[in-house]
Amino acid sequence: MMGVVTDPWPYVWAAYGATTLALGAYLVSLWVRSQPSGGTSEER
Amino acid sequence: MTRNLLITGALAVLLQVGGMVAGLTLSPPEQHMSDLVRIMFVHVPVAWAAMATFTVTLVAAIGWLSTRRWGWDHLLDASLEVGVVLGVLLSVQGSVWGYPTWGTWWTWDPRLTSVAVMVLSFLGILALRAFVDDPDKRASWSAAASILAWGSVPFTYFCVKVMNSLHQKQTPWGAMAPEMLRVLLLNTGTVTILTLWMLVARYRLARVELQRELDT
Amino acid sequence: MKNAKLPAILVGLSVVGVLGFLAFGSMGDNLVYYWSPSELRAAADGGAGGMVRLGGLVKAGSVRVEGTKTVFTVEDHGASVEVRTAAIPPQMFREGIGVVVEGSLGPDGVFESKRLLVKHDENYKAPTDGNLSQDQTRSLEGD
Repeated sequence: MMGVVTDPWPYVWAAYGATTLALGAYLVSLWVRSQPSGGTSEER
Repeated sequence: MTRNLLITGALAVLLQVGGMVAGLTLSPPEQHMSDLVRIMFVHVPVAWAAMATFTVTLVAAIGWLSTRRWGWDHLLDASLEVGVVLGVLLSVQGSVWGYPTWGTWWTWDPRLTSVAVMVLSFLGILALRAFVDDPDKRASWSAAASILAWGSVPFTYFCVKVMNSLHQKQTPWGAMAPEMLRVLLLNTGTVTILTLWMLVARYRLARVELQRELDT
Repeated sequence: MKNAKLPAILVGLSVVGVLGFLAFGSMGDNLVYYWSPSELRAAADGGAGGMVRLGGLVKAGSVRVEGTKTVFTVEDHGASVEVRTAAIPPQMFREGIGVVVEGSLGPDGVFESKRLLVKHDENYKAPTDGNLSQDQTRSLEGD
């Protein structure tokens, strides 16, 4: 049918996946950096 | 991280996951873009959060320059980083939405160009902060640059109203189906809460980092 | 802390580079993203020749296929331009929708385009909502 997008889901998943990844990775980085060692040393 | 920060963070994440599940399920498809409309529920709130966060940067910059209290510099630091993360995410979401809708991943229309300038300007200030050693100069220079860079925020918001662009204008109340508007408002709330939480967590980190820097 | 300097400098230089490119490159020669049919017609040279973007609404009943090309009329309030494009139209393409085409106006008065983008307007409707095409036409006329 003309004028209607027929295969939307791969893009929907990509956008929601990117959102989850970006926010998730940033939250993890905040958590790691706020550890007492600053997340840099091997041993606390 | 303190116990309270961890608990509120977990709650903010749960709310965000709930908002996204609602975005994937509760809204009907749009009659032409079909399920692609679901991308709006994460794209528009992130756009709002990015521009609001950069406005926090502006307030922090003015606060620092007028009071020289370190709290303002921590807030500047926090909002720059959170804003850039949101801004990059915003561009990726927009690109993934643009390809099946407009027919292109990217084009130099006023809105897309303006967002690129906005995100890159603040990213540049973040880089500037990393290579200025003197905390006082770092705070003042990045505050001054942030005030200049903030000009891109209202430009980004208003350019679609006054210039020819591929990007659509702001949707007025009533031009969106109520079942979609509900989901959009829900996600605007969850993204706002998560952004506030990230700002608080990053603010505390900035405070600890400066203390560590001054100690060594 | 300061071992983070080199990446920061690289990021800083790239940012300055890209912003410079934006300021003097892509924006400089093209402050207007697209021309409306009226603006194209009113241009000093009749709009012929140069590569431009043309934006407007696809006129109802004007879409037809000629071989591998799609031909349609783009209109605004006052003027219309016939467009011939080799691009495969995006799925949302239909009569009454806003489009932006990249190309140039040929000597025969037909706008030859290699690239066809469609606009989504600011309306979001569920499939069961009433008459869509009228709403869309109204909201796009402001552009």
